Amino acid sequence: MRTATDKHRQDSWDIDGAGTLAVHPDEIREPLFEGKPALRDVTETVSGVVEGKPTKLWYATITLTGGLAGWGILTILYTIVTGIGVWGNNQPVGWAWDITNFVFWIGIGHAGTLISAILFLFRQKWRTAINRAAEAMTIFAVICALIFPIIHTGRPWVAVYWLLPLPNQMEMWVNFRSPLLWDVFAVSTYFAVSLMFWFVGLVPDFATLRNRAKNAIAKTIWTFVSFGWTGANRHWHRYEKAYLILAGISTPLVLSVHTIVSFDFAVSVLPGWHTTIFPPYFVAGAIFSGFGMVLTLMILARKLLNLEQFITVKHIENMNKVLMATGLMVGYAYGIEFFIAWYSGNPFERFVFINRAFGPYSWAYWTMVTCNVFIPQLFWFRKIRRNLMITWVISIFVNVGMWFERFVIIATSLHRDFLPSSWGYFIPTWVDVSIFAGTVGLFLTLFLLFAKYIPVLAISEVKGILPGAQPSHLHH
Amino acid sequence: MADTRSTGKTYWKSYEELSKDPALMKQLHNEFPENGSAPGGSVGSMTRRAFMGLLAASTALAATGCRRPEQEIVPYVRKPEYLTPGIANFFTTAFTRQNFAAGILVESREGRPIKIEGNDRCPVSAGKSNHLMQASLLSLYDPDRILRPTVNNSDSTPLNAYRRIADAVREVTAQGKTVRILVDEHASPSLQKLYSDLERFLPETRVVTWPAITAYGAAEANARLLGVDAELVPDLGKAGTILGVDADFLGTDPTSLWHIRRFASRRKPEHGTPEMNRFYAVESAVSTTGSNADQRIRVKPGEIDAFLLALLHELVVVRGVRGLDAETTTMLHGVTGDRFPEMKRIADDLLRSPSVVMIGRHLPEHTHTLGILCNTVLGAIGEGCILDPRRTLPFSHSKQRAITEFRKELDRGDVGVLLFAGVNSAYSMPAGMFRSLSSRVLYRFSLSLYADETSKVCSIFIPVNHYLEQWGDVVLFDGSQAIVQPLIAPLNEGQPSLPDALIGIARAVSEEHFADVPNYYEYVRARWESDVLPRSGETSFGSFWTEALRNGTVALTAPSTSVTVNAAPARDMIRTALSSGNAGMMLGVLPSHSLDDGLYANLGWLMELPDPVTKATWDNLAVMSRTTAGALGVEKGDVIRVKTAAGSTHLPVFIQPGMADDVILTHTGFGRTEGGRVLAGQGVNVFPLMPEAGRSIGYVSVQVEKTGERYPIATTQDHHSLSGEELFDIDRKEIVKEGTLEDFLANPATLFRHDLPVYGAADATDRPISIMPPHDYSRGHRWGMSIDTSACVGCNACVIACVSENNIPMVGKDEVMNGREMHWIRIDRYYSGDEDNPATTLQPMLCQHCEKAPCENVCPVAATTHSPEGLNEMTYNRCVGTRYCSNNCPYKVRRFNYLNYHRDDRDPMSFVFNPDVTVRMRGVMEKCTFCVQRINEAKYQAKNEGRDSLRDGEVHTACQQACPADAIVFGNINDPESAVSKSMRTERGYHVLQSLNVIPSITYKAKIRNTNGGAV
Repeated sequence: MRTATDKHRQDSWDIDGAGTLAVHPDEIREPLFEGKPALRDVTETVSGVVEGKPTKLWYATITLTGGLAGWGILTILYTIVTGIGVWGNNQPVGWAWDITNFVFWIGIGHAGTLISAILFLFRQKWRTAINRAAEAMTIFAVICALIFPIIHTGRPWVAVYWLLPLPNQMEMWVNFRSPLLWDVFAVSTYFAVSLMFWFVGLVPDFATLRNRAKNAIAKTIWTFVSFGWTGANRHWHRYEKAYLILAGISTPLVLSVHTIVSFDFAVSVLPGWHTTIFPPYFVAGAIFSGFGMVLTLMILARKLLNLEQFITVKHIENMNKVLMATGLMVGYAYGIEFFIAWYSGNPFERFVFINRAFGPYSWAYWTMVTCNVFIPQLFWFRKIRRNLMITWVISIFVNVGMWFERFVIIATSLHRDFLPSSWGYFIPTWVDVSIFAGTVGLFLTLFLLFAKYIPVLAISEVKGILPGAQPSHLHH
Repeated sequence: MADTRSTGKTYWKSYEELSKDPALMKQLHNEFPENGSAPGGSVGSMTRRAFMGLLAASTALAATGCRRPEQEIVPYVRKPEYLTPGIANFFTTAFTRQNFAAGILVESREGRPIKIEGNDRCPVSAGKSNHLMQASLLSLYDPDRILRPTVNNSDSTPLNAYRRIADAVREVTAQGKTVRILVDEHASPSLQKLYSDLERFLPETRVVTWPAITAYGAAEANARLLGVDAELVPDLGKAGTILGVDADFLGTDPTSLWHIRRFASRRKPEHGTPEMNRFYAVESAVSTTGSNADQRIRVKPGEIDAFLLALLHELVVVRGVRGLDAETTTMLHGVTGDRFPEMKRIADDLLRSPSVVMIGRHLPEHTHTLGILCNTVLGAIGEGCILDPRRTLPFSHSKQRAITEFRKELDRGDVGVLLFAGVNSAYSMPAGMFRSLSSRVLYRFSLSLYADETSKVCSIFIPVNHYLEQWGDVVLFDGSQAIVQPLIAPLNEGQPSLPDALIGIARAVSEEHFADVPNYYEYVRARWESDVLPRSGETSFGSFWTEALRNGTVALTAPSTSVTVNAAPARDMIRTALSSGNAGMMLGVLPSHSLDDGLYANLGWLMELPDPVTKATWDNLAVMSRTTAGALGVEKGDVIRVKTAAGSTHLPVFIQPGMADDVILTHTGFGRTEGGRVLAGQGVNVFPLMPEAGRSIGYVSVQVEKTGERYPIATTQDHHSLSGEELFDIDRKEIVKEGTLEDFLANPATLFRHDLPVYGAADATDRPISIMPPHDYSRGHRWGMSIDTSACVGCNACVIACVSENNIPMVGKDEVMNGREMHWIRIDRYYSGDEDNPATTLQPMLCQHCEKAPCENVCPVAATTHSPEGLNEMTYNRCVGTRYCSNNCPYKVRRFNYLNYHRDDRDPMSFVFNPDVTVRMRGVMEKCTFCVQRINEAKYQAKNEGRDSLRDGEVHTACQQACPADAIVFGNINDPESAVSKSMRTERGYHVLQSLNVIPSITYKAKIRNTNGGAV
């Protein structure tokens, strides 16, 4: 195994006369593993987590997060029983934390899809170490997100099925012109495809666990979910094809889901919402927030699950680069919004943006800009990109900043729109806070269950990129 | 002359908006300023136990599953005459407010009254109504009113109570003591006759009128100078120039309904209507009326007399207008008007056209005297003039002397029995007076609509009927008379009306004299037969009575009266006026616009009705100018202690542009403690601050202290401290348009020219571009509305009419503070100009029924859709409550049921609901429907008559029907000849937020100010 020293890099940076690299890129790149793990090490490490007993720390944490989730569920029930009035939403702020949380969680999910689909199609091998966890995050985040469109309605007991185009004797259909309906399709598609993609990737690993299982119950379960996987060549062949197709289906979803979520706002007439920049701005923001959350969780997971060997600083640094790039896009969007507000000459538009930066919610706006634009600039420094502690702290800032971005877009645009007579102010109640905290609890609980009971690394994929696993053109 | 199109005038709503006060910024950032501090308790203040309890209960409820309880419905075996289920009947009756009465029409469904309108055959109301009229319906069904008579705090029967009262009367008269009956102002000749009969036939009995709101300055001045002991009712429709001196004739005056009608009839500058009037307001306190002034002059209370003297000086001395005798004229020579630079222009205008000076009812006799002198000089008094002595408020003579005499009797301990008949003296008397009064009287009894503060200190309490449950009659100020007829049997079975109870008591005391009076109905009929019938020229009483009931009012010509002004007594008054003008801080205690004297304080409709000036709900406030607040070192929401000679109380500060300096305004009607669940703890009773008996409203000297406490104020506009937008001038020309009459007449076609076409103003091909195909309205109707902001005075009649028609819930103070009030129509208010004395622009705002409605396309379940007749319809059953429609509504006129606001409705409150309008549950959105139920009803009618389309004027929306200013016109805009089409075809028409191209169905007409030379 080559070691990634600068010396080595310099030596290898040698281009021949034909304009091709003299050395294979993998040789000059920083390796994807620390040390020299054997094929068996991968299986052992990953399966060990699943097969071993949970630690006390795990129990303590899941009790905490589970309690939080339970409290969230209780407050959701309270909301459903009493009415949306228990939240701070009012006239004119019809949407506040509810839709903020929805967009926030949907955004979190985007990193998973990007990593699993787009990076797969671009043959970014470093993705294999993190794709499983990121995909899991996607699914959990979408579960958290899906709570909000349902409970934010005044009558969720009918909303759950009236929002679906179900044939009925009254021939009463949904309104296909409504962006909220597009949301229903976009998010449900996204959830279904993400789940399928994740599951397909898991099948070979479930089979590995099945083969190793000693406990009868575990064996039964693993047998069931591994779908009779034998590792036969034909299986692998079809698996690869299926995976590729799903990656192909998922790729447009990365762009479409948040584009459609942004339509909830962009299609309206409200100044501050009615903006054509929203689709790319939202997609960039979603990836930004998604990577923020992946970093927050993976830096912890690699430490606690002893995955340092597989999730290296190089992975973290790569993600930080994505974070910085998308952060810059988001910052650019913030700037462009102001420019257009001025350039359009629309007085209402101009007012909304000045109000955003200097009005009653300016604290929220500047929190957002600080977290999303200023702080990620630290990643220009390689040292900081490679410092796990600082990276983790910055990732928290990004999470906070991206929540505030959605709050700023939704609440500050609504609280003062066209007619000053109807202006208001939004103050969250304890129920608003509890429900959001509950979804954080739910998300972490699901992630903890995942980290314990499902292979956190894609065993087969990691093996596939281990040195020597592909005796191909390296030795030409 | 200011050109409103190009000056880019800044509109603003409140001082917070203008100020850059860092303390306010800080306060603003205090995230939870209100939770827990407000009365009533909210979901936010729910305890853990309550929460767990609720959770358990709801789970249990869900688990058991529930069925509606079985209720048997039985159809009519014999259908009553005139009554078809589902078809409304309209009955005439009359509404009384102090001495003002007006004919009303009550809509009755299946025998229960559900809506009050003005009677279009009544010369005073002419089909129009005001907020108090509308809201009085709710008190009929007020569950807190359904009570049993009590004798010494135990339940009793009326008969038993009468006997006990009679015993007491006999006992005290045997001891040589007297019986006094305290009654309210009224407008009923039969009641007046009954009072005389009581005085005549009962031993030692006198009826003393001592209402809550006592202001006899006008009546006394009229009596002394004109020999008419009554308040005159001017006809402002005849006035070309009006000078209001602290007068709230468009707001809290009992006669405001009439005044708004007549005033607004000359506020529409279109061709063919009478010349627009010009209105100057000289005010200390900001009133609804002053907000409508073409020019408003801020004076301190102490300067009011000086202003009037200066005006007299200008008219009589400077201009040499005749009308006063030489001696009086001489007295005016020394007066100087230098303080009032506007005086020359005002005098010019007053002399140019028929004009009148209106003096505030609360002002003292000498001020009214000056007013009479002005009006004499201006030729406003006399038969056929603006102030016609034939038009006086009935029974509005001064009760000052009777009240003073009564107090002396009390002090002497002469009174043995005190019967409070429909007055709540314990609430409305000056502080301490009631206590000393009640301690000297042997027996106190109460007849009242509610178990109010007074009833609590009486040994016998007899609840009496609502006016919709009883017979009676009224005389209107123009001399016509009307019968009050019951719309429903007393909801509280066996409950007497107030006159019936008095007759019952009288009979128990003196059987022989009242034996032939079986009840008040017969009593009223007898008087109509003996008094009214001969004057009417009819012969058959039976048909006359029926016809009178059908028409509501009987026109009777008032006897001709000639008045001569006797200026001699005026000279004393001028001397008083010359020496008056006390400096120092003054407190103005004036009637509240919504609650008036507090009788209807238990009505949520009125409690939650925003004050037209402050937009505050649920509380009375210490309203002051920002200079005054600065001098006192207080801010909005700070609690101050106000102390007058009579008493002291605590009030929250509210800073109001337009207030004179060194004056604090507060309102009566709040601070009730007994009688209902709604009124409890809302606001502060300020009646006890007034030291003089017989003058419960007006200005008094006051001392003010800061307390350091804070109190949350629930306003419907400026919910929270605003700051920040001062950094940026919002261009609000898209929202309100206004101009001066001079500019408008100079170039009517271009002053308000729009870049985009307005309905009726341009042909359909000239529409702005849209990617959506236009709706096809070519068949049938296309509904539209025009609202004249020039005519609207902001009286709130439309708001309550809409509440009553559309079953709109009240939400309570906490929810108002959170911005969740449910009114479908609101009066938006914008200020411009001088920050201390701004010009006000009012704009009724309701669903605009946009042709390209932004709400419609965003609803995921198609709950809000476009009708083929141009209505933006709301299907409650389908609504899941995403609130997206509200977010996307540029006018923010949609209202969401955040909680189940009808959950606290108790029987028989639900009877007030209009059965044609769904009562909305929580979780659904609602908004103005253009009263679609009325449109449909008219369509059924037309269909039955074989017509395809409705005639113009067949449908009135509730707001339109109530509007005394006739500012709202509704109808079919497919018909170019309809009133609404004609009204929309005006050069003043504009759409609010026109550039959004949502194409509203409502055309607003720009406000025109008839200013004299000055800028708007």
